[in-house]
Amino acid sequence: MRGDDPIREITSETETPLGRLWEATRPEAPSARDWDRVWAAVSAELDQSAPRAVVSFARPARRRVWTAACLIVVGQAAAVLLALGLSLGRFDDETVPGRAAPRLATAAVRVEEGQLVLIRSDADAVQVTDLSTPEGSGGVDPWYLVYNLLESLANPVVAMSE
Amino acid sequence: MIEAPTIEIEQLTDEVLVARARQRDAAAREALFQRHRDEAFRVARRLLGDEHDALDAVQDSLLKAFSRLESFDGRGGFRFWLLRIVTNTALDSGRRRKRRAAPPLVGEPVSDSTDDDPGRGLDRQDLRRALDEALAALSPRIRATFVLFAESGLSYKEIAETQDVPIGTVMSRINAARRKLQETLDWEKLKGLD
Repeated sequence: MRGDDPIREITSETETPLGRLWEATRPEAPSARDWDRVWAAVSAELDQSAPRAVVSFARPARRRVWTAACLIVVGQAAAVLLALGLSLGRFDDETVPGRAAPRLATAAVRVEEGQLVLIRSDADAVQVTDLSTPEGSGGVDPWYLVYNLLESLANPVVAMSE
Repeated sequence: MIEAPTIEIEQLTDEVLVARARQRDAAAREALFQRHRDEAFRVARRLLGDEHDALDAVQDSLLKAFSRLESFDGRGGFRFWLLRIVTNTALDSGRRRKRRAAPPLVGEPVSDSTDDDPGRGLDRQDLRRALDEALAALSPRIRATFVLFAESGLSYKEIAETQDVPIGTVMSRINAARRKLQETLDWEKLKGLD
C-alpha cells in the first residue's frame, strides 16, 4: 500500500519536485526559548486548574452540610421565638389591667317573633335597634347602623410613613 | 544519583508516562511534551501556515491533552491522540482566524536554525510560501489527511483511526491532495528557485 517514507512515495509516484519541495520546506523546530514559554504556560494552566478541580469537588459538599445545619438551627430558633411570642402575647392580654375585657352594660330586651333587632352594649347602656321596619328608631336607616357597627368591630388601623 | 530519575523517565514508554501523568506526575507530563512537541508543531505549522499560530495551537492542544487525560482510553497511543487533538485544534484555529496572507519573505526567525546561508533561507521562504498557498487551497479535511500522511508519516490505517473515517476515504483524500497540489503549484517558477 505504501512505503516506509511518505515523502519518498510522493516523489516516486509523482516524479515531480513535490517530494523535494515538501522536504525543503519542512518546518524548523521552534527555539528552546519558545518551547520553554509554551511549557510554562501549559504547566501554569494545569497547576491552576488542579486545585480548582479539587475545590470544586470538595467545597460544595461541605457547604451544603453547613448550609443545611444553619437552616435547621435558624428554623428551630424562629419556631421557638414564635411560640414564645404568642404565649407571651396571650398572657399579656389576660393579665395587663389596661387590656382587660371592657365592662358591658346588661339589660333585658324583648324581641317579638319575626322581629330583627340589633343589640349593642356599651359600658353605660344597651342600645336596641329594630331592623324589621324600613327605618328603625330615631329615623335612622338600620343598615347604616349595622355597617357602623361592623366598622367599629373591625377597628381599622391606618399606618403612615414617609 | 540525582540524574538517575531523569534518565529513567526518558526511557519509559508513552503508556507508562501517561499512567504517571494521570497521577499528576509533572515529570511524566514534561517527558511526553518533549517527546512529541516537534511533530505536533510540524503538523500544526503545515496546517496553519504560520509559526506563531502553530505554537498557539500546540499549546492549546497540549493543555487539552493533559487536562483530558482521564478520558484517553489508550487506544492508538498518546502520539496519535495528541496528533488528533492538534489537527482538530489547528483546523478550528484556522477557521476562526482564517489563513493569513502571504508571510513576509524575510520574517522573524523562529528558531536557531543551522542554516546560515541567507540566499538559501530566502529561497526556502519562497518555496514555503508557495506550498503554504497550495495547501491552503485544499479543503481542511483533505489538507489534514495529507499533512498527517506526508509530515507525520502515519499509515492509511492510522490516519483512518485518527480521523474516524474509512481507509478508502483516506486514500481518496490523499490522491485528491496530490492532484490538487500538482495543479496549483507553479512548477516552472519553483524550478528557478530550486
